[in-house]
Amino acid sequence: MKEEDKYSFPLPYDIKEVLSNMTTANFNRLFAQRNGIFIPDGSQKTLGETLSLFFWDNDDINEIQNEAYQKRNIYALSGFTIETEYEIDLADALISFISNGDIGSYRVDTPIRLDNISKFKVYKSRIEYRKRKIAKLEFLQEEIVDFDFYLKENEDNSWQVEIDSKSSKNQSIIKDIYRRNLRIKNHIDEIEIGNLSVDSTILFFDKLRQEGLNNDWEFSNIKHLTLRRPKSTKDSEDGEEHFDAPEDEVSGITQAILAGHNLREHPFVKKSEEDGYIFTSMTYLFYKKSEPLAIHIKAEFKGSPKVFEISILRSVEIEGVNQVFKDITLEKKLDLELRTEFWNNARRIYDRMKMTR
Amino acid sequence: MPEDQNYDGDIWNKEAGELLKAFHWSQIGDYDMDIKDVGNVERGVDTLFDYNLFSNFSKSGFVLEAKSYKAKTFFSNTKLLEEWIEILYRKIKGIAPSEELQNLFPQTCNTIFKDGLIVIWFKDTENYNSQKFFSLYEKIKFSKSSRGITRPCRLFVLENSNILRLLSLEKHIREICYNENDFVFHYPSDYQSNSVVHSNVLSVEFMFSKFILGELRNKEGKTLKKVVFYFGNINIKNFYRLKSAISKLQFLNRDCNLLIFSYQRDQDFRKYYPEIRKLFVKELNDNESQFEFLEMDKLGDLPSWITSLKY
Repeated sequence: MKEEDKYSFPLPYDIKEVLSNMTTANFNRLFAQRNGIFIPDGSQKTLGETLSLFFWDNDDINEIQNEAYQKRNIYALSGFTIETEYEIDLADALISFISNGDIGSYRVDTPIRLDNISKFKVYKSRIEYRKRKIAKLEFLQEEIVDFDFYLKENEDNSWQVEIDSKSSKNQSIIKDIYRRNLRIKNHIDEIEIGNLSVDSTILFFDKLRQEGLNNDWEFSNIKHLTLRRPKSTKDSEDGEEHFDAPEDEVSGITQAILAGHNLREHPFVKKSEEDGYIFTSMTYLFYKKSEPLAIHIKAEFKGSPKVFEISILRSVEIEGVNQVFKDITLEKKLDLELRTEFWNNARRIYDRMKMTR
Repeated sequence: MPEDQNYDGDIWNKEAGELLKAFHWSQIGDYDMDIKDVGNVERGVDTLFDYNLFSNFSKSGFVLEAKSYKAKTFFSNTKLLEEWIEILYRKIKGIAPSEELQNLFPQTCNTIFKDGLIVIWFKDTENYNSQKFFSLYEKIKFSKSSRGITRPCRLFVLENSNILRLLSLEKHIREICYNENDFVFHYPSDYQSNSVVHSNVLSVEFMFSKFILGELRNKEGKTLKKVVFYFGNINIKNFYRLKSAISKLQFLNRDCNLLIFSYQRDQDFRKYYPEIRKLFVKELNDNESQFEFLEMDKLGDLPSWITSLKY
């Protein structure tokens, strides 16, 4: 490929797609603002659409591309439970769906049993499909989507399905496969924000801070907080108003937490609650006690409908006497383990809170 | 002091208006009008503008906020820009659906007022540092208070360096239009229209883009040159990207002359300019004479055709 061919100019559709789906609202907002463009009530999508109408230079395009590529490598863990009327093996069920040709155009690998001796079975599988594209996306090529998922047997005829993928939308693929094809009576349950009251969501995120990870990890501070509320009018693009809590408020909240105060009494939290907002995501900074390592781990109710997922946004190694942070890529296995632990603890917290409602 | 300030403010309002009119934006009404907003609150409006580009049915409306300020004073209050933007935002939200606006200017029934333009001139230019100003941009955050029900509002900020950039654009367009030639901007399809649009109106999107496309035509309407005004960073990769842009946007015409104006300067540019030249000439039937590359003037201050307004 000639050098000059690497600099293909993205057309507005490409920019809009990338900015709407592969970056964040915050990135879009900062990008616009750096160029003298301010959209106070713009969603990520609106910002993306607006920015796609301008001609950008190579440096701008690279910035967008880098942000999108970074986000591409972040995997989120989400999941759901399936309770069945009587005991079944979810992996066997899946195998039968595959052999009956009931899974449509998805390619699913035969589940492999991971545990050998434990009472409860654990399987791993992988699904692959082609993402339908309306127009040719030259800017970022992504045609084949594949991700791993795990089937974990629990007590009382229940299984937990955990999905490790880049997009929360992928959870519904597995869910639908089981929903459509399981012949026996079953109930699918997941962490739903709708089942938590407003004050419970705040408590939920606070409990996650305390119980999300094992004792080898210590909470340091909240890096980011997103709040949302349903829009009161019909004339809206996504039916929701949302915003990122300002940095100084987030610091204040961290201080309050560390001082042992009731999070709900914090003025900003209280006011937000009164205005009808709920927390929908929180990013925590945790330090590992036994190693010079720290992670930014995010718990989020994402998308529409909202899927609860855990992702690690950033990992750092802490070097030397001066405690310099160095960005590193966590080993895949550890990354998955941490997200799985966090998600499962979230599940436990949710089950407790759901019942006390 | 307040007398000078008011006078300067009024003058700058008119001067900023002239800049926009030079790009064929149309003024609506007078300068400095008080208009009752949708909540019956009187809002002071410096000037209203609109233009018609991409639709047969609607025009793009703008509320202009002209600020003439001293850089020294401005930088001593870091929240000022944020306040200006917030105020303009609320002003637009209030005025756009206003009954008084409709009554005063019935011709604007098809004009959509959702955008604002803050045009700031720091008159003590020796104290003004554009980088320092731009560093404020990222810090601006908006409160989450209730926004109302109209569509998202865009607010654009122009200050000294960008005003001078646009004035340079105006100057070069004027200069290439000697001998009854005419210049029109070229708006490719896929952006805001289904087909290509040619107009002497400069859209706000072009104003804030890193390059602008246009055509020089003779009085019979024949295209003499395809013209690109490039405001982005100067390095070879940026020109690879620009070349891809004009190809993909179907702006390039093998048989037509291409003139590229470049605004930013780079010391090392002359070293790789021959490569850039080759890049574009290749698209023009390898005909060297079809390609021209010129640097744009960097103005140091407002030109006399603007400042002489007050006399």
